[in-house]
Amino acid sequence: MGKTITIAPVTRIEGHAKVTINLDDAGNVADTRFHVVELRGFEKFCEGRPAEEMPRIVTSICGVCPWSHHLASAKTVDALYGAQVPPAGRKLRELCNSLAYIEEHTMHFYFLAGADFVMGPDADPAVRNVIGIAKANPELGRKVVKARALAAHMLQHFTGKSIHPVVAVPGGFTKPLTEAERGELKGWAAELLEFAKFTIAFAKESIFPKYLDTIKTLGVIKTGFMGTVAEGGTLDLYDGKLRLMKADGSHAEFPVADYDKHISEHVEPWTYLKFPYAKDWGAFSMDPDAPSGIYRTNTLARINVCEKIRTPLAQAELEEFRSQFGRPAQETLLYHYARLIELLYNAEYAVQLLNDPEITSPQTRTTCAPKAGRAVASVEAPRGTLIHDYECDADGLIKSVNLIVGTTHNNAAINMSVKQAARAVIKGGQYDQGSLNRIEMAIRAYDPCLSCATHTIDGRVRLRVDIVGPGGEPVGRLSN
Amino acid sequence: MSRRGGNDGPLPAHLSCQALVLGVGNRFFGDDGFGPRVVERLLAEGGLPEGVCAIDAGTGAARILFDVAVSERRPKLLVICDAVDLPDHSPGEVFEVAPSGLPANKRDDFSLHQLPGADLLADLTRGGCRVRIVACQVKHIPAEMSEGLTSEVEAALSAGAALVRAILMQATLPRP
Repeated sequence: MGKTITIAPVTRIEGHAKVTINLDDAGNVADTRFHVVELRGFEKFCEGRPAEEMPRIVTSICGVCPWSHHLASAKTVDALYGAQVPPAGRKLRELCNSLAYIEEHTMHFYFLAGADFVMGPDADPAVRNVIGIAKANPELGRKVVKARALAAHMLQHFTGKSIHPVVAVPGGFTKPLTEAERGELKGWAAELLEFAKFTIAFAKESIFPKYLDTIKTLGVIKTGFMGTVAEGGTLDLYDGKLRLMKADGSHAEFPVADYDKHISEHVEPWTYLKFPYAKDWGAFSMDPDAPSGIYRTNTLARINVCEKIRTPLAQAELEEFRSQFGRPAQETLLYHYARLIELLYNAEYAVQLLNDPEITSPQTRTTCAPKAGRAVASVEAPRGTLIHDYECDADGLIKSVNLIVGTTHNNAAINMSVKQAARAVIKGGQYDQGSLNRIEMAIRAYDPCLSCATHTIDGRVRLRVDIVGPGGEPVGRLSN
Repeated sequence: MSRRGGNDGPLPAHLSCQALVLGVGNRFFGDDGFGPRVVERLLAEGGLPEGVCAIDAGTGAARILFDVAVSERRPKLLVICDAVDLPDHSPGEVFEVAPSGLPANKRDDFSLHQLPGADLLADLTRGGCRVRIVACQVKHIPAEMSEGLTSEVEAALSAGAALVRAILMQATLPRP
């Protein structure tokens, strides 16, 4: 008799999701679904509001990546009003972006995904978390906390607010960086660079080699990729063109304003989260055996689509990564490795920006005025390409808003990886907590954040796995 | 707002303070904005004791608490202001609730969207950080974004701020 296994909600990701696994009569995986259970209504909320308030409003979409939304929104209003951001204003925005990335990537690797690798995917759930890591390896815990605290301190010290940022405004950045502040930040940035170097070395030496078989098999699917590149295909997390790459490595590049010419959104009745896909690649299909139109974003995608990285240590890591895994690399768990390359890049780039004398120029913003129009802008959020699309009237009041957030791009791919992972670890009706955690590992690799992905809110439930028969009758339950 | 942390290097305010007050919730979801609005009021009124840091954590509270939970240097007292929906309480009623008394869905707010087997607030308590929760019973949290508190919860802001101040005054905090 077929069974349905539900993992609800998925642990250690941002937001709330449910995984349903349908087994056939032989106890093998027949189908899986990654449901997103939150809904926010943000776009509707923004209608009628002054566009220049959007960079502050959007930081409340979700407390996970406020800086990404803040910067994407500021860029969108820049474009709406035709504002030219002075070089210092842009560099200060990029500096904040890099510091926020350092905080985010550190948190994800050590706090969210790390427990699977450091404690092991079969470890007791009571210790398979960051508290467990800190107790098992206090020195490592100390390093991680210090780095995160330092990145948060730098943002707070310079901008005043790190949780709900306000410093990026239409036309630039509200305050210049003084020489004294630059001196302090430079010293701290150097410490963060040492931490980033430690982290990637630690992972390459102590973590990834142990899990190479898992990396090569768990959640592996074949898709295209999308990320942002600057001139010459250089990785850029703040600005550039979107590069949409097929699985064979061929790609198209376009300005973000043309995103709707290249990307469509598919809808399924069982989830609020839409499924963006590349419309030129054929009809949408997320069958892992015959995918069509599917692309991924986030760290692995960015590492795949870029030609090079502008900072030397990260560039060397990119070359080593490609020599081992090729290009484009498809293994889902390599998101973690790619995340650490980006951690290193951001640490190097923060140092580079702080050494740039132009960053202390007092000219950090230009004035601008509301006008009717539509504008689209994007940044690379840690979780993927974040697109803001606003239309406003002549008074600068919002008429419509569309957001495509990083995680949304990966919705199809996450579903595919869940199916692939479930098929690999559940056979003949046999599974245990470790099996289910491996399925969740495939999701966690994408570092999904669902709070803003679906833009609405719902109630939450504690983690449980419901096993039900095909008639809906309860068969069993696992819980943490 | 931040202090030198000795061998730890500079620390953000939420780690270097003696008492941390967090306003938790999303102000764009009706009465869920109670926590941030209480902190907003405390900061506007001023006069918080030395060594106290009050932060509108919004929807980013878990990130702060994770740093606090794992850090060797942490506040001795944590006061969380949050909207709740519990039986036997009237809309706008302000009261304290023990961490173990939080409803399951709210407890999840403090777990970076769930950590298997880890109750973050309980971990903080075991680690020597006193945790006090100032709660306000909601009247309505909308399903879609809608800014603004109901009149009952708006009227409760002063009581919420007063309770936080009372907790801070009663606490015997080490000199910073």
